[in-house]
Amino acid sequence: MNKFEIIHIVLTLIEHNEIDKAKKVISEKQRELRLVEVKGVREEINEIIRSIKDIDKELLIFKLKKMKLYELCPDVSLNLQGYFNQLEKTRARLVKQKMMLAKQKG
Amino acid sequence: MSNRRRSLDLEEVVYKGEIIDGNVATSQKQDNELEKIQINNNHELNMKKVETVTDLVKVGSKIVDIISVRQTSKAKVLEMDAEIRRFKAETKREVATLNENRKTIVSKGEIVSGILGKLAPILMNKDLDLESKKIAAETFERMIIEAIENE
Repeated sequence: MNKFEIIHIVLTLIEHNEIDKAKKVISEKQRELRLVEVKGVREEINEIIRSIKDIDKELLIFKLKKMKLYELCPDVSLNLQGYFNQLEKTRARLVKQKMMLAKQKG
Repeated sequence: MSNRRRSLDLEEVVYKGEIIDGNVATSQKQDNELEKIQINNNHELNMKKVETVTDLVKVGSKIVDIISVRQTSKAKVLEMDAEIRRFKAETKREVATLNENRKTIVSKGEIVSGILGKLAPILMNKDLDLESKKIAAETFERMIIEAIENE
């Protein structure tokens, strides 16, 4: 075995080691990327859930206030359907967004 | 043939007075032999040189492969790092937008609730007639719409 053959063997070993190292680093990065994606989607979903909860609270307060006013004076009606519809529409959009994000995460 | 024997043969030739043709022939033969050996040596040397160059090329190619693996993995890692940063920024932006929208919804709700709360004592007031109460309700309704639109 001449010195070139030895050098070749050593270099082959270094190359294999380099490939293994690269594979390890890349798979670690891929894991990190997946975690960041999952964490990001989770954060967005949590914020959407908070928003939906707040909308539900606002809708409930609005309904109760309206009922109370109706109880106080049934002859006077308030037409705030626009506000109500706006909240419902936002809620529906958020629910859809949440479902899409959950699918993306899955 | 030993040296001693060769020397005795030569002495014998000298005594007989013969011209030492044999030696001339031997010298030419030796030259030819030497030339052959030299050619062979040169050939071997050249072959060794070719082998060495081939080995060097192999070593060089291996080094290039190692560097290439290293650079490819480095580029891939950099690309993924950029993707991670982009994703984090995107999430931050999206969460901030959602948070802002949520705050707006809560703020609008507080305005609506506050105005409706102020309407209640008016509707409860027995001294006011129905028409006044209706006007008050319409006014409050407009106030709510304006407040929501301005928010």
